[in-house]
Amino acid sequence: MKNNRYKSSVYHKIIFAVSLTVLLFIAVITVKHIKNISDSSKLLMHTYEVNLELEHLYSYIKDSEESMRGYMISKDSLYLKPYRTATKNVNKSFILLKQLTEDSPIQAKKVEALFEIIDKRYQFIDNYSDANTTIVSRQDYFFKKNFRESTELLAKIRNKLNEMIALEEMYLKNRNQLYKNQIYLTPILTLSIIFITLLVLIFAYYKINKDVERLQAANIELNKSQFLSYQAEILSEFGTWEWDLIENKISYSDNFYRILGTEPQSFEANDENFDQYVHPEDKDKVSSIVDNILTNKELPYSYFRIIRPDGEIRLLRATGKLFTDKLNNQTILGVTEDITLEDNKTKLLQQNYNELKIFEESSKQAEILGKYGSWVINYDTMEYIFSNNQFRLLGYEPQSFSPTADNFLEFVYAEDRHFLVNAHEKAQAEQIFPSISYRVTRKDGEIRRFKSNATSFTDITGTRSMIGTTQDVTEDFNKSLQLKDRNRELEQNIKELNEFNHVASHDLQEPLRKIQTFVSRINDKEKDNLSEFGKEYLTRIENASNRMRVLINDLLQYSRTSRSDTNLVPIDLNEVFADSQLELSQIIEDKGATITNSNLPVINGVHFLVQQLFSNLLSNAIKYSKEDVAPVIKLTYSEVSAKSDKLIAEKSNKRYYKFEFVDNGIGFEQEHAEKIFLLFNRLHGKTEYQGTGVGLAICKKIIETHNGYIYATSTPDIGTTFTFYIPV
Amino acid sequence: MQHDSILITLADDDEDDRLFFTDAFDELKINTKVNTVNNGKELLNYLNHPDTILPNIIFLDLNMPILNGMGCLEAIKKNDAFKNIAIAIYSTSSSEKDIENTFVLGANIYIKKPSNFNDLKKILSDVVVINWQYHTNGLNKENFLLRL
Repeated sequence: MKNNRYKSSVYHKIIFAVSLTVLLFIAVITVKHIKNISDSSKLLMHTYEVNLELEHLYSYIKDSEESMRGYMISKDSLYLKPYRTATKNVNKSFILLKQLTEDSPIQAKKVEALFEIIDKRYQFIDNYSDANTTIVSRQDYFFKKNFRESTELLAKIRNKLNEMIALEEMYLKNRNQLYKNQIYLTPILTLSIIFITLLVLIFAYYKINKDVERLQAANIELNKSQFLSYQAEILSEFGTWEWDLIENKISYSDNFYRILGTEPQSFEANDENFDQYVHPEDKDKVSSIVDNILTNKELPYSYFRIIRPDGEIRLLRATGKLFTDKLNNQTILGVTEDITLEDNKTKLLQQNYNELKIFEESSKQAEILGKYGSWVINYDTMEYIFSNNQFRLLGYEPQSFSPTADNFLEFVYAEDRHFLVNAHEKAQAEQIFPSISYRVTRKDGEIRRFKSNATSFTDITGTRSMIGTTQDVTEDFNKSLQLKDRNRELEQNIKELNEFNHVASHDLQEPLRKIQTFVSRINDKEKDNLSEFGKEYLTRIENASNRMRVLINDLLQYSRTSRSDTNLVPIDLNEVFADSQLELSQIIEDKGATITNSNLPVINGVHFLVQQLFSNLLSNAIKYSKEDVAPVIKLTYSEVSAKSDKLIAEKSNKRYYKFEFVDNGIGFEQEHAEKIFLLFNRLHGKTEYQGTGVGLAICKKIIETHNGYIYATSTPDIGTTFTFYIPV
Repeated sequence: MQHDSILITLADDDEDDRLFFTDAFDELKINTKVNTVNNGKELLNYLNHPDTILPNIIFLDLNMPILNGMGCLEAIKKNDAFKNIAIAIYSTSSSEKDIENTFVLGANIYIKKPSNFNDLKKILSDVVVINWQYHTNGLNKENFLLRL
């Protein structure tokens, strides 16, 4: 369009030049024509003048003739005066004629010829004009001869004059014809001038009109595009500015002000005002940008920050180019764009990219550490993409061959191929890839066990594929096989232990019970028949068998607490402790023991086990009380974290209930503190304090069943504190 | 045969225990008639014998060869003809498992064999004089195990 307009202007110039030339040409022709006409008329006039002068000449000659004749006749000198006047007039007329006939050589010659004749004539006449001359006689021969000759000369003059007049008349005729012709041409010429001028005018009008129309259309387009760019500015958050370098005047678009966070045209556009919005750290940058514009007359992409009046910091990007118009005005036209959002997006993208990079790198390392590889299979082409480690799992260098469903299958142990085939079939049919385990033969011939998982994935192009991971689980698999064996052994052991329990409870107890029953029978029926010796032995048998019974019972109880199928449920320790005291009420009463406890918490535990724990601790404390001091037993608790407690070795943030079971008994040396929890371990002789050494072992076992810890601290003759911890 | 005496059968493979059992009843002044069998199989044969007058109470040891107490209990409880016989489990074991299982199978009372003859006499006497009708109605796990 711009091109078109440009063409049109050249076109206009040509038309203008052509019409001007045509008009000038016509004007010149017209002027020349008019001049011709005037020349023709002058020539006409000239002809008339010549004729008139010739007539005058003739009449002057006649006059002088006449006067001479009068003088000669009368000898009156009075006649001489007109003769001289006429002669002067003839001379004047002759000079005039000479001038008039300069243009025509023929006429000039004729004038010359004429004057020769006239001269001759006057010589005759002058002979008689002298006063001294006297006419001897009129019949004088010379006189007569002269007279006749002079008359002939006059006739000659007359003749010559007539010739000249005829010539002039011929000239006149020609000139008249020329004049007529030119007069005839004049209106035609004028008309054609008018006509051509009209044509040129009409054409110019048409052209101008058309241009105006085009200009109007262009103007509408310009308005539209201006409106669009106004909206575009708002939508795309950019503003435009113009900087007239010659006048040093700047103007900003409305949206430029909006980008700065102000109302459109709210301040005068200039450097100083704009500078107020620039971020302090970027002020130097902006002034160098301004300098750059002034020196290089252009602005490459530049970035700087501004602070809006509301305090918001925005990132702007500006660019500009020099625009020189036809009037040679130099203006930098610039665009300034708010790219804060874009910048944020870019940063976010960069961040995502970085994260992805990290993730990719770490997953590469994880693949190596975790002995797994990842793959994608495209079900349209049945081609795989393997991660580097997937190749390594097969014993190959990364990306050393192009994996496909078929060539991967080659690696798979023949008997296990159907697992993989079925899995892929299922994946294609149901988009579910079942977790499968199969053996492969590596490049080096080693047989490894792989495990594969996958999830279906459809990419943007709609290609169905599976993203999967494959792990070399050979070691795990072998371990799990070992573990299975161990488990089986363990189960066997437990079974045997249970059988042992059964044996202990039934088969060992049975003979013992019988011994005891028989002893009681003898005691009842035969005691009187026994010697003192026999009675004592019988009592010893009774004691030994009783002790055996206690041992067996304790052992049974111990083994029963170690059953692992304990189900921990919330139990209120206040109730459990009360139950234990109730169980031991007789002995507590007998010994006059004082038992106190703080309000105890609810823990997750097994009621009968914890009751057993409390009973054992209570009976232990009562049993090992000082002979002359009534037992005083106190149970308190607090809540601690494993880290902050001195006794617990565990260093974690795990919360525990810490219980302290304090007695005032005989106590023991601290060095025995760990030994007392061992099975069948006793610090005192059987005869001093009855017991099997199982009670505290059971306590430890119960606490362990509850995932807790138990410790004893003691001072001989002061008392013992059992501290135990149970998780909150 | 005296109709007013209480008929008692003991199934126990242990000779000593059978001796203690019969001795205890001999010493107790209760009108009872006690007979013993050596295992579960014998017990069932005895019960199923047409000439047998069904006992009032059966004392059943659990740990027996051929057919143990548990199997025996099951068989007896299945047979409608024996529904009026009270079953007392008489075992050395006092394991929770045994107590639970026999209770579920429908035994009436569980006795742990005592290790003292006098205790034995006391416990047997208690069992025999129980009003079975009443005891069975109010039977629950707590009073199932007879404690001295």
